[in-house]
Amino acid sequence: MMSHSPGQNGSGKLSYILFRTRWGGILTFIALLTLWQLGSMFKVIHPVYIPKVTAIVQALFSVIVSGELLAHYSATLFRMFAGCGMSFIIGVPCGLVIGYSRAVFNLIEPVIELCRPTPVSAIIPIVILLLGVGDEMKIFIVAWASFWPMLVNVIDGVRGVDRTLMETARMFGATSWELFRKIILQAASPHIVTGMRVSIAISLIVTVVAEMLAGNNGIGFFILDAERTFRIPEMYAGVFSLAAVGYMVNRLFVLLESFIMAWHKGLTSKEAK
Amino acid sequence: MNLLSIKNISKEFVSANQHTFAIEKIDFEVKEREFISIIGPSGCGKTTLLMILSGLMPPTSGEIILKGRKVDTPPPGLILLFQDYSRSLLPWRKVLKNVCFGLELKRQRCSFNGHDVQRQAEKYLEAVGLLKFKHHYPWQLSGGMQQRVAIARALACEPSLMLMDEPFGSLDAQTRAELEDFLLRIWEEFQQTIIFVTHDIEEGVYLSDRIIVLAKSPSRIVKEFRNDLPRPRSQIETRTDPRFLEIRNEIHRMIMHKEKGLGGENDVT
Repeated sequence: MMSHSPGQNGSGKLSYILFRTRWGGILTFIALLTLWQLGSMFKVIHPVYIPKVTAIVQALFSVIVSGELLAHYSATLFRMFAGCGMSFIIGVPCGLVIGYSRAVFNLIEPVIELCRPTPVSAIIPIVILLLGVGDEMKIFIVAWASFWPMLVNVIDGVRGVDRTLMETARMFGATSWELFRKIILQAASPHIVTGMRVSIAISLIVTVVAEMLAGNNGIGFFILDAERTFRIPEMYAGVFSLAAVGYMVNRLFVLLESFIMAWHKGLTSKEAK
Repeated sequence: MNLLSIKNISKEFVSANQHTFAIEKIDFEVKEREFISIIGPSGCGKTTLLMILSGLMPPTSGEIILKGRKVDTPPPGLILLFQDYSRSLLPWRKVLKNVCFGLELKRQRCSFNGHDVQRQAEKYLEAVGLLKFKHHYPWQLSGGMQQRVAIARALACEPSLMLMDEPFGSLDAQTRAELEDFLLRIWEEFQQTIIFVTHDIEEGVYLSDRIIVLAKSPSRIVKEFRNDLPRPRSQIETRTDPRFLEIRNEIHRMIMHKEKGLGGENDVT
């Protein structure tokens, strides 16, 4: 933790704002937008390719009101959650089994270590060949990309369960099922949630990329299409909206995390001291 | 009547190309309601011994008989209190739920067969003086309090035999004295048998009826002491009793002598 002595003459309030509140960060954000706005206004940067912030916000507002953006987002979010959901449904049980059994881990680990670092972009042609260019392809790519971080986090979580906890439970006469349900699943849950968070972030990225490949809807398509039809402010509006959605999804997850696992937050912040 | 017979236990660890004897031919009997201290230098395999006694680790040879039955899995009625008590509490459960944990699992196995797990847990939390912390998480409590939660969890199962692995090792002197007396009280009240492992000679003498001294690498019994100090024990009177000092000094001398004797072959000490 940063500790700052507020005794220095007059700087007490400033240092409080800098060290203890989020206002500094918000100020930086506004300053950058202002710089952008001014740069575009006075043609320091290309005013057509990089339009004014106000023009972008205006475009954003009009595509929201017209319902165009919403229609694209419903397609995007469907693909994203379908793909991500599949990777949860398959990744969590697989990770639990692989993490629990040394033998299964030894059997499967090389495959994981080969698949995981392979860029998802490289397998896109294969998936298009097998599944076409429709939703199946997009959802599969999202599921594939978000599956690996999910899996690896669950495996780490299970393998990292404290031996003492396991022995305690065995000593109290826990059956294998009780050991799994009352110890492993609980102790690994922070890792599982971290895996989900990483997976969701990746799935948003990959969904947008997949939508740029083919098709005629989704926010990825919207951005690319706006560029091709020279609706430059709309193109930026799409990007802005993605920034907001990405931020909100992550924020929501952090909130969920601290709500479901207050124990873990408390424990780790105590260990950090 | 003998509650527990430890018959010629040895434990050998085999790694890559090395055989290490951790325990060599340990053999002793434990009577019902006895309080036994096992004293030995650190690293002498005391924890391994307790893991074997509680059925969590198989011995290489020898056997353990508890109430006429061979121990190969953790038997009902036996509780081991781990040295790492803070790591043996479930961090996602609040104190009360932690105490319930053993009861949930041992329901059919321990002598407690009531239905009200919660009330049983509260009773023992009260016994260790932590009832008002029942809604705290273990990591919000101090080390001594965590240890008392672990003790309450063990007691709630009403075990007939408790194995304790240096349970007060990392506590400050005052908390330690308090918990020693607390342990003696509950031992008498609940009529248990306790095997108490420690590296602190005075603590071992203060608590027990019998003291078993171990030597290290491999761990084996050097000597047994009968401890006839009067009960109830008191931190002041017992510890200044000439007989207490006599036993303590004898054990001390023996351990020092042993260490010296081993010094030639083992420079690490």
